[in-house]
Amino acid sequence: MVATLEDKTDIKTVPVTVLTGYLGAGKTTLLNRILTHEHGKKVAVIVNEFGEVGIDNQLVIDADEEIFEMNNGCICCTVRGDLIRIIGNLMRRRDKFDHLVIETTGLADPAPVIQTFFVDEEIQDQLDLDAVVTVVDAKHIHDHWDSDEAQEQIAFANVILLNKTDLVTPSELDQLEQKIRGMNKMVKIYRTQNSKIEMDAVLGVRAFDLEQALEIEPELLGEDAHEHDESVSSFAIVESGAVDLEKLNSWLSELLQTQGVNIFRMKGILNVAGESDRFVFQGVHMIFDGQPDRPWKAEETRKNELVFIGRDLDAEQLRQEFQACLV
Amino acid sequence: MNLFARSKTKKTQTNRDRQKLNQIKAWIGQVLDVEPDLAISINQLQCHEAGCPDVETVIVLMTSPPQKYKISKPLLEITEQDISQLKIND
Repeated sequence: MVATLEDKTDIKTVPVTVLTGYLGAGKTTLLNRILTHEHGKKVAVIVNEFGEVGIDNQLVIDADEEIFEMNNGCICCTVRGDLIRIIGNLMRRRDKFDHLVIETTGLADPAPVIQTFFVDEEIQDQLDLDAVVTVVDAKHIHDHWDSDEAQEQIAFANVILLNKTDLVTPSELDQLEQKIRGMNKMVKIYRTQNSKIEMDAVLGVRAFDLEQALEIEPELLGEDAHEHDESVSSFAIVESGAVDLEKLNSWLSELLQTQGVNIFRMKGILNVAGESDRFVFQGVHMIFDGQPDRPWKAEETRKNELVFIGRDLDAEQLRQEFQACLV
Repeated sequence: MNLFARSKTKKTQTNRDRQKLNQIKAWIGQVLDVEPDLAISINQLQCHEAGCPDVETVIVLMTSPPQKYKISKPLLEITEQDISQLKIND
């Protein structure tokens, strides 16, 4: 059963959808759908250009992309200064909206946008990053496939709209979907025309909510990345047994320090030795966020499942290093 | 560095944290004489890069360009004196 937007949305915090996609993919069309759909939500929108967006009675705010480093040179502390300002002002009009959508430019790196919601204390407290939704032009993505921006937009996505499906053949679509899965195992992919999609698929997704069951579809965990020739790839580590927390902590700290720049996203469920609860975590570059989740069920097989998405990551080496953390 | 001990989530964010945030903002307003509507970004960072302290709090006045101040303490341990010191070091 699909939960309604109403069911899923946290009433205390404002859910935030980040909308990305290469130039011409169909972002603005999706944004207009979100703004005009009768979902009963008041949506505030931060856009980079007003363009064709601008619906009466909606809060649409123009932003100038301003990348700002909290710590000089540290990629995980790179945020969007303009968003901090705008959100600060918007939250004074909290009663005017229930959901915030941030549309990025076609050439934007999603990481600073995402990190803004993990770094600023007040923003963390008042808003919840709901999902990164990326619109992909099924026909023209191949022209941009090698660009860092296009790859990062796919790698950071929680939801992908494989758009303009009417312009390609079913077999081309299958190949593209496989290629995307090779880069991002965690993403939910929807095939669309004119960015037409059920609103529940893009709003109220709670992809970054650790309290939401952090289940990774089993069939995806079992697969190896389809395309190993891409520098951006995704892979899973699945291991039974329990991890030694001290060893794991040392390994992860070292990993984030040395390879955090290349780790776009990671998430997982851990079976920590001596603990009755599952431990769930997620990360964006060097930002790590985790907590004990729920107790392992009696009928459940205790195991560790980790998924990494990143550039130039050595899956086999990481797998061996994780195995070394097992008790 | 213990990632698991320090891992921070909304679940652990308390009223005490919120009160402290508001208190720090009030101190900044008084000491640094900022416009009442200016956005102030307060960030407790656990940077994993070499050379960074384990935990520090970065305060940014969101002017154009932003003005950045660092205090080598967790947010909850910041005192009015630390904020006063920022003006002296400015």
